[in-house]
Amino acid sequence: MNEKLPTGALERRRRGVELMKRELDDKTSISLHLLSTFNLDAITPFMVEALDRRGWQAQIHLAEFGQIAQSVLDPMSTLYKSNPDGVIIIPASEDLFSPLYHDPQKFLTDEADDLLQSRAKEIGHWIEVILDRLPETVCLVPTWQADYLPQEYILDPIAPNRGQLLGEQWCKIVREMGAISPRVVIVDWADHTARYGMKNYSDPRLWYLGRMRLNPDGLAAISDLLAAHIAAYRNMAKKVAVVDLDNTLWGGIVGEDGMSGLVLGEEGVGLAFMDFQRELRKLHDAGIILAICSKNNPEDAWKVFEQHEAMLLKRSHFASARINWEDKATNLREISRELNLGLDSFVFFDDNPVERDWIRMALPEVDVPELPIDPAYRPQFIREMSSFQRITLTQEDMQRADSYKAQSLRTQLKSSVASLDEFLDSLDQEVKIAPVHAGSLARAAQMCQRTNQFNLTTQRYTVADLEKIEADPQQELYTVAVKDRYGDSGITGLGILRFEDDLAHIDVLLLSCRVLGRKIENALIAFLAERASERGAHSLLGYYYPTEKNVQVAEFYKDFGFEDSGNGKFLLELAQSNLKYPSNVQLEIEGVK
Amino acid sequence: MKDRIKTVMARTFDIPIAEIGDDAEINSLPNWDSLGHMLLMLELEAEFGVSISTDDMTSLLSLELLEGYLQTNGIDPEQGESVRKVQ
Repeated sequence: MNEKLPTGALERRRRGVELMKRELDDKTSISLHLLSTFNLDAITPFMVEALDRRGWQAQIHLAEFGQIAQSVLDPMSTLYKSNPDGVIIIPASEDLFSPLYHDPQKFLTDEADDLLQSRAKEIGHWIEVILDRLPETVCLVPTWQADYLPQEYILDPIAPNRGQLLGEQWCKIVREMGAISPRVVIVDWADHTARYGMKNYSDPRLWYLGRMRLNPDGLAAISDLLAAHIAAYRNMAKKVAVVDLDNTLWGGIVGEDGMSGLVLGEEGVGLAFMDFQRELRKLHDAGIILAICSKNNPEDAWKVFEQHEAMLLKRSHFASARINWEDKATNLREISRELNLGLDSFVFFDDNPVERDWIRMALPEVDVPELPIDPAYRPQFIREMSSFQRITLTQEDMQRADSYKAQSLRTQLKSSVASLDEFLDSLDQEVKIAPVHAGSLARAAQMCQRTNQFNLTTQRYTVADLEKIEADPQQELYTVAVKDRYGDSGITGLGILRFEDDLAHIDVLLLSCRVLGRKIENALIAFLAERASERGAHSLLGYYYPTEKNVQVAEFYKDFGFEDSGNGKFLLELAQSNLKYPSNVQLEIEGVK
Repeated sequence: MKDRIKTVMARTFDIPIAEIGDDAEINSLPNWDSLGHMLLMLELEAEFGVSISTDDMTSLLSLELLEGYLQTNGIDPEQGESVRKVQ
């Protein structure tokens, strides 16, 4: 995934054609069904290529163009037969509103608004039908601005018969359709084309000869944007940004040029370096963990952080640092161990192409972007990177950076008190267990997708899966939120119970690594046992499915007195259970399902 | 010239160059359908630095016609490079 990839649209198409010959691997395959008002037949290799960049093998189905309503409303259509993971609806506004585009005087009549409202209702209805008939599927809907206005020679932007207003109103309506369900993802293609230019993405010859509204550049760009949203929806965002120092955070080499010789400040290229730091600080504030990996004398480097006035990033922004003369691959491995986060969640920024290539070779799971040579282009480069994109920020995302800082404070405290119990007592932990609700569903799914280590069954449930579980009277899904004197970790644990006669299955039990070793797991398992008893279960059945990363919980159920009944199953007779809530947490149970 | 066009065709249609005969025309090769034809036009524009008009796109339906067109429309056969600017 880390080789240098082609940038030209036609080369990308050819790469996509090559990729389509692969044998599909079930684990990373994703099927998508596209519906559009114009000819999109050429998009398939572009979509395959764009999704491959994000680690997915895409299977693309296209409906006959201009037949969205038929595909959506007919329960026997290929849309439902193909049962896709995602449905993409691309209605071009000049197609939806062709009566107005052909006769702009109609903008002065009620017909314009009537058409706008009825189109909005129609597409809203399509989305609801799709979500209802395909209960696992995510629905992606791009906004769209045509490459021309119905009457461009009328220059007043708010003159109704110029047609600009309608286009803008339409985009607003589409953007608000995201509220229909968490399974609707709005892809703001109109915003993208406003900044990059829809005219560059279309070719009138292709329209007249083939009813294609996008040329290869447009197909590549919209595929990229769609792929970014799909990856973000599936929580593929990276968690850690590791940066080099010399010529990356500042211009120049501190060991040679000295602190006063560094290019960093409010003017010229120095400002570009400041802006690059500003972008990194934004990432930090949005929950991305920052770390340093630099070949330098640590004293020289830290002095810049402490004393250079233009440094926007301070030592405290970094959760880990390796400033030494060791090889960078070794350093990155160590940072990964220290943070307890896999290298596949790392992005590595270094201005030196040799270091980049070395990391690509030694640690292919690390994302190593081709940082532009000219520092002036780097702030926009990092802004436009898809590695950190997510659909929205959860409360936990925003608190994560603080949470990691708190983690290091806790570690310090740990060494100053005698026993673990004493330490845990001193944390003043508050644990809140609550049934999942609309506001916590996205976070619960995020944890299913992301938690690797303390995860007994590693079920990668999506929002749609969890909605189904939540609706099932035989299943109960609880979230665990943790707070202590150093900060609020938010929702960091999850348990799912499934009841079957007098047996309660623990289908999911997971905790974020940030709250491990603090007896939160004791509280959660005791709660699940108590809840199972309340609902009349006689025994509790836990599962352990080993993966590469969850070895640490192999003995989990045994440690709590469950009997190993083979095949990764562990049984506890509730009558004989002596599970107790730990004394070091103050527990609040916010109702049960 | 002919070989260079065949090379472009081979990568556009994802077929071995040996499969492309001198008499190749639309619908005679895998993937040379109407969509493939438009992609071929764009690939040839990029390769030869020409801009093909909509009319020409609809009529240049064989290797022979394409070769004739590219020879007279802005290609210096000696250098194989464009003497016409892309629009």
